[in-house]
Amino acid sequence: MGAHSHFLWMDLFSRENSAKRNLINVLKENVLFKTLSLRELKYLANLVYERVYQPNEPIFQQNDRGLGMYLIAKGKVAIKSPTPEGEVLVTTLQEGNFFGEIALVDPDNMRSASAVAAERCMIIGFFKPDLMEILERKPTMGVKILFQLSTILGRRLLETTERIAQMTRSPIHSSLRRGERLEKTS
Amino acid sequence: MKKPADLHFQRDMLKLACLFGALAGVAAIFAISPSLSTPCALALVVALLLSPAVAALEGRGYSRLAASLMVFGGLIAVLAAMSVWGIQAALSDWGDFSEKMPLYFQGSIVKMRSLEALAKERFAFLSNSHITDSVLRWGSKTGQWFVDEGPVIMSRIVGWIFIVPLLTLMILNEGPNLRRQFYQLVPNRYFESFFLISTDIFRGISDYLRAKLLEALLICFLTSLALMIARAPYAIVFGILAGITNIIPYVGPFIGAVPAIIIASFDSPDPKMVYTVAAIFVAVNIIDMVVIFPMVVAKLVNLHPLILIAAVGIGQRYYGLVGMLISVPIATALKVIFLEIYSSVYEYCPNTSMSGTGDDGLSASDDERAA
Repeated sequence: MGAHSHFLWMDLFSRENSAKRNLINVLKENVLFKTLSLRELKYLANLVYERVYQPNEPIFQQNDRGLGMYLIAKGKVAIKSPTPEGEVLVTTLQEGNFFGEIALVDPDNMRSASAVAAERCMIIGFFKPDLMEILERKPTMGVKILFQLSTILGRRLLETTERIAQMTRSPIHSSLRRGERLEKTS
Repeated sequence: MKKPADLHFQRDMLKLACLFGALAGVAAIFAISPSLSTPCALALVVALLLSPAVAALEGRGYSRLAASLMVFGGLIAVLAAMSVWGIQAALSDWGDFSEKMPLYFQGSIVKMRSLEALAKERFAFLSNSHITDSVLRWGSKTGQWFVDEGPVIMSRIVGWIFIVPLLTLMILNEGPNLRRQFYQLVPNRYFESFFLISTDIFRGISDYLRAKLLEALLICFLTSLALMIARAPYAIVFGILAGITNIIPYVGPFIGAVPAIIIASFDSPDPKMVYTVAAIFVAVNIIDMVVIFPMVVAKLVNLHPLILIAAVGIGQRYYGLVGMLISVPIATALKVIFLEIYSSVYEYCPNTSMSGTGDDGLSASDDERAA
């Protein structure tokens, strides 16, 4: 059995403290950063911001200016969208999920939904100025992150296109189109 | 029972009070102890000037500490080389200049008295004024202040020579960590706005400092070169002086030109040298205004010239020379804060009409969640 990490001088010689190790592990698990080397992950860990949110505390509101993405390290986050009937729960995100990543690439990004802590949670914020700093200081690392981000965005665009195509092929839409044609001919 | 929103608000206000308390505490410590604040401010300025070089080395794979040490070592090597080669010429100029200083002083008094007499003859209302005596009294008081305060100032400067490099190295190496610790004090609801504003202010000030340093170096080089070609006295000393005074916006170039023109009027055997020296300073100033400033400073500072002039004027009115130096960075910071408030309150939001249709606020897809 190995010596306990807090025993006497063991802490003094450990390369990182456990909080930083945990942070690196969380980042490593994320699809956006999974191609980064350990050295790059350590560098990234110095740039991101850990924030603790209490239950029902807003992370951001709809129409807030978006500055970056958030990654859930612990807890759950509810994504809500206001409608004329009231606020609607769009989805609940779990540990390891991330949201708001479009703000990293969109210059005039406005949040299109609100994010609220569903329970006490720890969120990791990664913001555009820091991504720009990475691109300036460590271009290879920046390209890796941007490539993963573009892969995610591309996949999501494909999914949306397929969903629209499915909707237009559905029987309801087909009958609606037939109805429109009949109206035009009459 | 209190609503959760009220609880969040109370906690955020408490955190905000702690943040402002911490800021006020740091400001108070710096205000009451100039021996601490001045080297800290100098170290911060040097760190801001060196940070791009550290960033460039970090980009090549070096750790932050190694990059900071390399940049610092490089700077010390450059300063050592300059002191061996470049400064020797300036020092010999300075030695000659300090030897002849009493003669220049006497000569200026004689010239001033003759000009005053001439003015009194022409304009009767000046008969009761004693301009030369007033200038001499001011000069005597200023000289006495330097004699009294000189040892204290020198001891401070010697102390700074040791403290400033250490503080600079610490800021370069620990800067990002200090910034992260500071952000921990910011309440969640203001975090993004605070982050954006502070990042923009930091970038604006750092760009301004670097631009002004580059501008000063170019002015120093151009003035020295032109004065040397014209065979004007103390070309390097006045070139360096022109570069340093140019840091003060608008009035700096005139302050830098006055000593060179006065010396040229006394020292040079050629009576036209005064006009040549004046023309050199005017030409360099025009090059600065037309080429260097628009290409280097204005692009980085991004403030309207009228705002720049107003900022410098207000700075001079309330804080004198220091006010003139810090007015532009403060104006940059205020502009960033104003724009942020304006955009958050008034700016048209393109997504508002499409609420719920965008996905930037939404999560990763199921596949990505699984990953």
